[in-house]
Amino acid sequence: MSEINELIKKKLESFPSDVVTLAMEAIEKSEKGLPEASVTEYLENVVRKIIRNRRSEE
Amino acid sequence: MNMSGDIRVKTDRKYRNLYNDLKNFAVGDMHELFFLCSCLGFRAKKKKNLGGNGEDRFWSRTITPEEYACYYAMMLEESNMDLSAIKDDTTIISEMEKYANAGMEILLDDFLSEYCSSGLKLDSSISKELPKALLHFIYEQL
Amino acid sequence: MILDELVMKNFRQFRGVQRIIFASEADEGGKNVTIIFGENGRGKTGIFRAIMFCLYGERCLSQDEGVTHKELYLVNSPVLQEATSDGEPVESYVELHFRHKNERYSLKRSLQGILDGDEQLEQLGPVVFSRIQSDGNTKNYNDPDEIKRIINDVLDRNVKEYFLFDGEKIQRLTLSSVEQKREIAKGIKNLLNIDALEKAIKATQKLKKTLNTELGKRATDEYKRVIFQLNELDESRDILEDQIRQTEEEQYHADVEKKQIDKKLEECKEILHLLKERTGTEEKLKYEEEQAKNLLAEMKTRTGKASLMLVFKTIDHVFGSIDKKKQKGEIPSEIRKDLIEKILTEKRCICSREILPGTESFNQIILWKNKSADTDLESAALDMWRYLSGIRNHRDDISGTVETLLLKYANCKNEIEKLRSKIENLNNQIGTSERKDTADLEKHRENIEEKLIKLEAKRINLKADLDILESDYERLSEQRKVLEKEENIKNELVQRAHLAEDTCNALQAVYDEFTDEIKLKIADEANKYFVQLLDKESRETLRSILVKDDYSLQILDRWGKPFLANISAGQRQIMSISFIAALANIAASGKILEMPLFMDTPFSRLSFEHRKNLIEMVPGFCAQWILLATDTEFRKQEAALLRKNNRWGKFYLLQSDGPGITIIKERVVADSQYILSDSVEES
Repeated sequence: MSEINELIKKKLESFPSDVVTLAMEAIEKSEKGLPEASVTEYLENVVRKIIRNRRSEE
Repeated sequence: MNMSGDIRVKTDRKYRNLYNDLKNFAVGDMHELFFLCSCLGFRAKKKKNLGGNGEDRFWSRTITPEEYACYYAMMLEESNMDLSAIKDDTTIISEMEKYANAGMEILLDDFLSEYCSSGLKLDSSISKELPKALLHFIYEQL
Repeated sequence: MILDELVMKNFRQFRGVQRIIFASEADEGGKNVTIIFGENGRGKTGIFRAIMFCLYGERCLSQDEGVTHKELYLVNSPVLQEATSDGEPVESYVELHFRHKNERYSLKRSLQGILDGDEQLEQLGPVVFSRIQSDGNTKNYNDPDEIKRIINDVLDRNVKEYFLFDGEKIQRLTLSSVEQKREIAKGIKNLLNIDALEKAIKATQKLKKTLNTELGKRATDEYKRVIFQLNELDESRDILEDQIRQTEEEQYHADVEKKQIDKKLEECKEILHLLKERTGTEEKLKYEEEQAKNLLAEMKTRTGKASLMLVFKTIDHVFGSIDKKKQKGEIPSEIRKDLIEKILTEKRCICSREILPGTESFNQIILWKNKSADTDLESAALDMWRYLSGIRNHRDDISGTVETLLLKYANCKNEIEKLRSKIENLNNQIGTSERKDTADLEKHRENIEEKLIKLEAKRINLKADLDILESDYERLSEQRKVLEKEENIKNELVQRAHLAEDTCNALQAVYDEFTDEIKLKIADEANKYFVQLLDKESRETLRSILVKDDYSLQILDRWGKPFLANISAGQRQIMSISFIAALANIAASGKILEMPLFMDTPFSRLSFEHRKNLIEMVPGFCAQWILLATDTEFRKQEAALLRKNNRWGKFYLLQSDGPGITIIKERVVADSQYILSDSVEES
């Protein structure tokens, strides 16, 4: 992970863990040079997974 | 002074746009505009009930201690210095809502109408100097 | 990146093969300064252009704005004319040798030129690129995309403008225009390297929209209406932001056009003094308009306090009344109650008189006791009394501030009117000049000015509309949450939509925090350089550089007041160089950035003391300094200073060798005292 991403992660610490997970996925995928639409598509699946996990834990 | 922070301060539904627009163009925050209207209503000794038209506008926690102190003072003067008039913040705020409601009418009649485009909405194209005009209006009332 | 050698063949003015070897820290004695000296028109900018062409394949520089590719020839025209008689094309190339992180690179970009009738045609040729790695192995590259990527890793094409720049660029950084803000924002964003973060924000915004649209389709009743309205606001926000961007783009182009006209107008010498006066007055006008804007913003925050004036009478009355009660001892009543209880128990007054039950005095005291108020209410009244007392103490301040603000605003408006009428007057004088082309240009300029004013008004209105939209959005979001709570809406889709929105907001917050921090850091660093580079007189007037929220640069005078409109052209250059040095320092995390600082005619507007400071300081804070200097700015005095600090390694002269042809000659540094002229002002 690049230096700037480490800093971003640090700044995100105060947010809920689900937000941090999704935000970091968004940054990592954006950094890999994927087009914006593909990043969004990928994130849709990540959000689905996070919420499913959250609901099954509840 | 209790200075309760958990009261939802109401204003008339029809002034919703005006409160939002004035917050953007002319005043720092909602509570300041409400304070101005309350003072205008109080000076003119005019109150107007909100009836069923009240709509939550802001939380009382944003009201400054100085503003609260003035609300208490208005209540005391109105009641001929009867201390029981400052017993309950909800009652005080509710009385101020009536003053502010009448105060907004005064503000509209004497000042704001020329800045409104259609009905109760500010015309952004002529409101650039509104902060100055509003201060001037307040100054003129003295 | 450190530049080692530049080789050019038939490129621009440079006929045949010509080369420049640059001085760098690695040389004997740590000499890192190269001076390339030539009169105007000899091809200084051609050298700058050669480097840009070789590294990035760019034919145009930022200063060529408005010039098309077709009008700008890279192959030497006289050579091409001679070759045409033989029917042969002419080969031209630029070769650059440089180092970066212990590896050596060699890059050669070529092109061919041919004359077709009157038209000069140029075709790009192959790019040859090799890298000698730290282990001594050489690797050759042919794939243009890979070459582009490697070069970009060495020196990002966006960042390059801050290290390889011309005199024009230095000016641009200090003008209060859209262009300036754009330059600074670009520099800061490049420095932060937050492209991925920006993309992530956009992707989560899109995700939020997709999920909310989905939610809108499935929701019912009031909730559906709110979601629908939120989606509509999202759409409107996109449109508004787009309109703001477009307006700023139009402002930028109008600004560029205005500058081009000004350049042409400057050629008409007889009105030069009027033009200068107009530019100065326009800057002052901008400053006053900015002041008026700031005053309005300050007034906005004063309404609450000013409203206190409306109830001063009530404040006095109630304060007086409570104060009297306090003095009489009626408030706080605990003392009185204690006293009454004591008298009643001891049946004796404080004057020792006996008070027996059933007597009139006893009954009076009982009445008095019953009248005592609730202690909570008394304490509330005392709190209020204290706050009212505070307000009364500041009474004069409150009304004084309002009066001062109104007065300041009136003065400011007055000044704006005066300046506007002065500009109109100057416009008339310039417009009545005998030259018809000047009059036409003047008319055109007026139209652009008008357009700029309209565009600025449009931009302000759009921003205001955006603010209103944001507060509507906030209100509706609140309403949405209340509805979700009341109607117990917590299905999977709602949760997904919320997570997307929260993530989008979190990323935006991090982004804002980043840019704010870096703005402060850059301003801090820039000030360190600024203080060292300024001459003594300027140091007494100017205090510090400020990077404002909207990315514009401001300078504060010794009393902390904005002063940008009043500083000289030289001070502006020093301000810009300080800003660039700060960018470089932060990019290198406090070390010396391994990057050449390449400046095209940077001294022309500087005082001798400023030049002296630059010459003494710059070689210390950059790894390599390459100066393209002209005879009016680099003279014996400057050369002597540069020789004194022992950092000057290479000295080249650009000499004419017939029309359109320049040859590069290397001279020893010591020769500068014979070659360069004396300074008129200093001698």
